[in-house]
Amino acid sequence: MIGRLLRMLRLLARRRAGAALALVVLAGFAAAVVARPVAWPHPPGAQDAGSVLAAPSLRHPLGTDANGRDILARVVDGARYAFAVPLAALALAILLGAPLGLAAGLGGGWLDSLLRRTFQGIGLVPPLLLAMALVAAMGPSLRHVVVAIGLLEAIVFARAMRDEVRALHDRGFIEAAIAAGNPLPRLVLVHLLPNTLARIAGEVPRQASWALGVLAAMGFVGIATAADTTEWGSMIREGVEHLYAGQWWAAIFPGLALLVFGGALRVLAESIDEHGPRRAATSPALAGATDRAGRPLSPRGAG
Amino acid sequence: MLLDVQDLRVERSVTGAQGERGFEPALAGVSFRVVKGRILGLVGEHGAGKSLAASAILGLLRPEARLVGGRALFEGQDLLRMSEADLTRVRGARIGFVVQSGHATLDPNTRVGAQLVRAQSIHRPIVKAEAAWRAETIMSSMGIPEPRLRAQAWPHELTPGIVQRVVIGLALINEPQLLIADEPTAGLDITTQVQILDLLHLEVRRRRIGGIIITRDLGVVAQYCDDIAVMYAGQVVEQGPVGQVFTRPAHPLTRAMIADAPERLALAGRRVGGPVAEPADGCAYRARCPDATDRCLVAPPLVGAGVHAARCHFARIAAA
Amino acid sequence: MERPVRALLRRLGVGLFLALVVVLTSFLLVKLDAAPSDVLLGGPTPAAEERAQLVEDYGLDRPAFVQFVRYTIRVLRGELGRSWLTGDPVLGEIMARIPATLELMLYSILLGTLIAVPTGVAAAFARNTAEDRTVRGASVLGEAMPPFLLALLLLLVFFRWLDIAPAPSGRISIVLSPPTAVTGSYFIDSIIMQDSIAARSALAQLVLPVVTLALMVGATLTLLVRGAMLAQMDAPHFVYARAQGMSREMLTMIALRGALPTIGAGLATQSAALLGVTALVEHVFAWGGVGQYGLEAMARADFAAVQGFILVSAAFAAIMHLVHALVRRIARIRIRRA
Ligand SMILES: Nc1ncnc2c1ncn2[C@@H]1O[C@H](COP(=O)(O)OP(=O)(O)O)[C@@H](O)[C@H]1O
Ligand SMILES: [Mg+2]
Repeated sequence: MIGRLLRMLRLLARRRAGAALALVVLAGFAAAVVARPVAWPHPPGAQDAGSVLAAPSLRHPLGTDANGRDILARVVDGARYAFAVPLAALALAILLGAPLGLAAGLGGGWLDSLLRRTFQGIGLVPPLLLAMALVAAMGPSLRHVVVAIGLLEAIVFARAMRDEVRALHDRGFIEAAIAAGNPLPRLVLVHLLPNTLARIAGEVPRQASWALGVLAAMGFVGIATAADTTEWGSMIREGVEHLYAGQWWAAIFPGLALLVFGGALRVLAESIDEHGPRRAATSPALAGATDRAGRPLSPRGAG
Repeated sequence: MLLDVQDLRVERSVTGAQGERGFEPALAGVSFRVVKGRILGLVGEHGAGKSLAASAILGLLRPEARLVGGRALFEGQDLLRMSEADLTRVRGARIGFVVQSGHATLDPNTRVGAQLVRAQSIHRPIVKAEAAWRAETIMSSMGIPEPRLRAQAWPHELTPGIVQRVVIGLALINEPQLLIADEPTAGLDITTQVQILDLLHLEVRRRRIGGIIITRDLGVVAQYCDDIAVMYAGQVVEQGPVGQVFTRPAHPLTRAMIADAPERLALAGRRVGGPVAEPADGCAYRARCPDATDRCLVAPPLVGAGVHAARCHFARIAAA
Repeated sequence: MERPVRALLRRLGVGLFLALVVVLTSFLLVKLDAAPSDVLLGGPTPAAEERAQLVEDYGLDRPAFVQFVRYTIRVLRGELGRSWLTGDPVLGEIMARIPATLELMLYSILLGTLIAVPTGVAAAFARNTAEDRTVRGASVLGEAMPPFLLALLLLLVFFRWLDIAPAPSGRISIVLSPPTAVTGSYFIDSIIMQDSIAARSALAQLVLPVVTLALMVGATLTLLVRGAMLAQMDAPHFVYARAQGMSREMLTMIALRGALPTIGAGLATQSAALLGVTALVEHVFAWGGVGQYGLEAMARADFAAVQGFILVSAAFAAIMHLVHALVRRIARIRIRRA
């Protein structure tokens, strides 16, 4: 299954320069995170009392923040959150959503309707706001951020999984497998999961980009964590007042990191929409965005 | 000479298994002619490139195809070298085109009458009432009953046969010199097919214009056309006046098609044999040809005398 | 007669169920907290009798199900509780802020559509050219852009550096007093009151937040318009329209007309979720709308306010979907009647 995934990525990279660039950008962030402790003299937490809010210079290429800390080191350090939080949330979402979708798809009938309507009802609240409210309710901590995002994204994966399973069902695939004497676990593991994997994998970059945006928004509003972290949204919040005073670098550089990282994920998602396993039936822009009634399927875009 | 297409060459972009992009020839030097007052039957199997040739002439290629050479002289002007603006003035005004698509050709969001009025307004200023009157007139001359009522209808409310009559009316309303109809009867029932073809035939004769009927059915060509061009794999493999080609077919494909659709003039399109991957060089037809020999590894020349010619090493064509 | 009635009942049932899910979601929000009672009980330090009253009202000493039923009844009565911060009823506080948010959203959707439709159409006609790729690249980047970052960038350039935009300090200059409320829009009310200074200030305050939101709306919508246009342009009737020699303008009208349902659906979906983005933008510009109110309530764990905010944002989305369904229905009837 990993091999299949890798092959998909390789194919994407070859067909689309954008996708290749996006992969390079993400790899670059990862490499920087790993290399920073040995390659960069300033630790992210070290305060340089002599240079508070210093403009970008050779010594501090991205300047320093209000506590005299090196922004480059902090931006690189913040990439850890950009990787970890969306990944953890995705894992949770898939673990929760896929079985739900599987059950709905296989079960059909009232269970399917109940889940669909429930998701539709929850989907009425803009997902970004609901995620933030969840964290506010559970209290500020990164773990809660992961849980909130994971819960909302689980809906997306449940829907994707359900649609895939239904499609297989409608093509007579499932009945055939049952008729061939496959017990349920085998049916699911051997026949259904591999066939739905592509769709699930195809959703990953878009959902990762959404998760990153939500994390940053929470950091920016100040509900993600109580602690003083290098998470980019939190860094931006701390830099805002200095931005109005002219010391823009404390807010803008973490912002640009966010934009580049999120942009890479978006580009990847966009390429998958066009060339991936599931070419959108109507238009790339609409892929996975709405169900038949035109309601959002995934917390994305304006969410 | 109304239209003289010479050595039309088109390539299509293809994506390989590894995702690499390339171009492959789709039309490999197509030539045919249309004379005023006569109808050319462009015939060939599915995928032979008939629609592609028509689209290329009118500058309607989709982005995945590109023109690489040839000329298409229409009343002395080369359509292939015309600017898009000039071409726009030819389309619909001097060449009427019935595109291949069954009955999905009408704009679904506009009433039929309004589409006929709009078509007139494309190429010259119109007076609304006069244009509406002309719309009704052409509808009734297309054999549409109750044209005034039908003009108010939306396309989806009409039967496929009526829709096709409207489409032909649209193609003729600006009085073009050439009418190209790409599989105009696909998807219609037999009775309607005959009516539509009769109508096309009559209009071309009455208006003394040129016509091209694109079809997969040799029977249609025999009954409604004056000249024939048989296409295979992006080439014209045989052409000539219908009488000569049908009595003395020179290309094995033409012979096979005639044998497959004998004098009964069946209107339902049928394919000759299954799809076969064309050989990269030599005669494209050799993989399916019963008479193929080693000579067919070399691309055959156009063998012919005067108006009747075939692309085959073994063609024997007597001067008419 | 039988079928329409049943369809209506079914729809009503679904609507009620959706409403129930929303109320349950908002109810559960508070249950998630470690100390639910304290959260509801008007802040960290409620007076003893106040606490007793709240325990009674909410049934906090009863099982969760009873609490939910009571909560639902209160919501139905429009009682969304009081903010512990201000002590005022949440519903009133939200209602007072709705015009500010609506004004922002309305202008942004209009401007965003005005940007997206021509851009998306141009990109579709220029399919796969450099122009198309540029538009798509910019739109994808726009989709990846955190709204608050865009707002900050605009503020940095136009307020801090060029000094042609006002400070992000709300809906009207802090030295002016807001106009008498008529419509709730400071700009329109100032005009009605014939106060040109206030009107100019209100307008100036609107520019950057509206541009921010419009660009966010525009990015997604451009891709949507482009995709919907391309789907139309591949349709046989469009090829036929070209074969008739139609001009670019006529072709655009034909394709746009066919793309309208898709674009409308996308716009409705986007508007329904727009409150999320709007909240962040309001937060940056201290706009004083519903969104900022909700975010501040979250940051301060003012739970009655958070719950009210969540309910109102769902109601807003529901209204957007209803409006869209209605428009579609009317459009379809118009075609069918002919
Ligand atoms: N307008 C067009 N633009 C680009 N490619 C086309 C066009 N029309 C047909 N083709 C392509 O040309 C090839 C030959 O098909 P076509 O001309 O439609 O065959 P026929 O009409 O003889 O059945 C096909 O691969 C088809 O996709
Ligand atoms: Mg064809």
